[in-house]
Amino acid sequence: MYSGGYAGKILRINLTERTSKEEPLQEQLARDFIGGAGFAIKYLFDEVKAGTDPLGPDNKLIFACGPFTGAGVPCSSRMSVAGKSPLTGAVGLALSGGHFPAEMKYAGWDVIIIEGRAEKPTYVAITGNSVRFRDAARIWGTLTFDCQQIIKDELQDQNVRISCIGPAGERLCRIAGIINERRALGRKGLGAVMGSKNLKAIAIRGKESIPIASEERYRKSRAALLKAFKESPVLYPEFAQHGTPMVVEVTSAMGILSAKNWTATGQFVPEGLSLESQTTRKIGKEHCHDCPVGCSQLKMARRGDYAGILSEGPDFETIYAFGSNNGIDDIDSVIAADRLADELGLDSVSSGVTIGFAMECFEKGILTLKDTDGIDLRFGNDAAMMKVLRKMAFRDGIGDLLADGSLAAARKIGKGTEKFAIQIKGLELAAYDVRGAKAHGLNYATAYTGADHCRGYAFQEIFGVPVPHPVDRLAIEGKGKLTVWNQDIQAVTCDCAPMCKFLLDMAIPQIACQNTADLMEAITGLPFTPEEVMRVGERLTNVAKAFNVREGFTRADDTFPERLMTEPLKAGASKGQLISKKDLDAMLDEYYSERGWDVKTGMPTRAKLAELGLEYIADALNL
Amino acid sequence: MKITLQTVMGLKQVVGQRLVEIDLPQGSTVEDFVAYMKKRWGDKLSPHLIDPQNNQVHPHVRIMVNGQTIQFLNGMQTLLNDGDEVVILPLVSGG
Repeated sequence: MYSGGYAGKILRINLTERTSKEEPLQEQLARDFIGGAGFAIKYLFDEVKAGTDPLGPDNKLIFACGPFTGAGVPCSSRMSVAGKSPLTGAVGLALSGGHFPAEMKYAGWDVIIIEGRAEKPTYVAITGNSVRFRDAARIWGTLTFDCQQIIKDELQDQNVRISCIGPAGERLCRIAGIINERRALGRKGLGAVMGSKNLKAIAIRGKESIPIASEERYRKSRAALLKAFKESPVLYPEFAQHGTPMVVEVTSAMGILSAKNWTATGQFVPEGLSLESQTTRKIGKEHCHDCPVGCSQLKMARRGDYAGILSEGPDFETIYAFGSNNGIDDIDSVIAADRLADELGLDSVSSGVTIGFAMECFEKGILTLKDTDGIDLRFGNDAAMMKVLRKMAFRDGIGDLLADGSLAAARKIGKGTEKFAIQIKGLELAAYDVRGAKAHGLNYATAYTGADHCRGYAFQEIFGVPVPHPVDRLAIEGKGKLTVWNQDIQAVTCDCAPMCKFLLDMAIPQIACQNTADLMEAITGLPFTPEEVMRVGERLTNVAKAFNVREGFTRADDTFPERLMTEPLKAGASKGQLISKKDLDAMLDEYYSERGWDVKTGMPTRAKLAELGLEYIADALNL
Repeated sequence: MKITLQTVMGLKQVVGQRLVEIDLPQGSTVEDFVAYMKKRWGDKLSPHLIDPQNNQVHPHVRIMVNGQTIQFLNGMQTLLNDGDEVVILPLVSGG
């Protein structure tokens, strides 16, 4: 039995019945899935039946932490939240750092499962074993930062940690996120799931500590980790100072910073989004719980209509979504949009990309001033972007058309616009024009959550990290095998254990599995080898894939927006690049083959599921 | 022949601008290009390009010619042609 790391308990909250109950965390679950996304997706497969309405009471929201969280492992305060995504119909998984995850462990919970639907607006206050259902009528309609402050005041506890939704989640916008302090569980519309449950917020407070199975071994493994941090040429010297925004200049130089709804990648030079322009806006930095790095940048807009607006961020993805993707070369506009999206409870990536899609429709004359409530929605018009962003959260006019993401909007607009809705499985593409980074593209096509950079980030292509081997970003061959490795190692080390994504490529790529195995054994007392660690990542990916297969997803869904397969990049260091349908098929064949899945259908096979101890899933899929 | 150098972040500060045009003799290689940079910008390149311990390019720095990493061309012996663009990238991460 595990003897450390885990709180050992699962909390099940039923909003319909206003009840809660405690369940033990089973050892087999810990061995098979480690924690975090592994737990969340296992429960999702087991408890949310095929065909469930994502915005109905039968969908669930599953918050899950891993054994490293709260145990003092550096950069391990991360939580996974899973549910069936109302945006994609597939697995919805979002992760966030901050302080809530560690607080959840200190409150005594590894997993919190939210079921049913409250009769009226409610928030849940959890203090250790105490679960209170509180009236949220007074705070329904508030922006997320105000909501958190009101709850803190109401509970008379300024240190309570809160995850909540804003107006977007309340109005069931399918690109609504959950806001955790000033951070976001942004993607896949899980804010709408929370809104559908009439759940405005979860406030949590705890005082327990997390036991460690072997202090001596733990100290040794932790020291190895911290040594790798210090030896990294980038983690402290650069990343701790600049955070993710430094990627703007690098991707731009590589010709893969997506611009103007992916029509001007390589042509758009982001002078106004450069590191220099961002440095002049920086007023401080934030650390997640147990993080010695502090990559999160506090920035304040300095000029024009946005002067004085503060945001924690914007991170690289948001700079792409509200900046280059919308033809906006002004960091102050992006800071303001980032803050507004967080306050409204909208995913900044999907919001920005959906607005970029609408801008292209407007420039092509498909949407007119009549459709946009008189807003001149051309690329580069930051004021228009801000107006539309606000309208999206309130489903007002043009905002209602765009509130459910680009694919839903394209289907309503028609006229062939689906071809340039930049989404896969309904999820808007994260940054990086993958026509110039093929494995990164294959990950977008195959990730179980849609076009998600957080599943199998190809850091070999984007940053040149030569682990497990040097990679030619423009080659097709070998990308299937690489993507499997990327998805599985990131699933287990970053999403299950968990640890911050940024450490994997920057500091510990070569020792990640060994170090995770060592820490698992030291903290939990459960023996793990590096191979078993990787096997957990593979198991998680297979369960998630099985969920999607059960929902009707096939190989045909593992694809790209047409633009990426037919329109070569026009300028920059990736000029001429695209991923043709033939190249995509070649990569998919290699990917499925490497996974041990059926190459023709892209489905897991009974043999593979049995090898992973998942026969019951093979039965559920009638394989 | 004219070669365009594109730099980012710290190296951009050293060379003064994002894009710099450099004139080199025909037949020059990436190694010649880097030698030219050493001559022009000297020790200021140390943190961003050249390891002063061995006078070699830092192992984590990426050099691309027309978008292709030289590791997948002919390394430092990659021949340059008129109009080529050389991009030099530090190790960064995040995103």
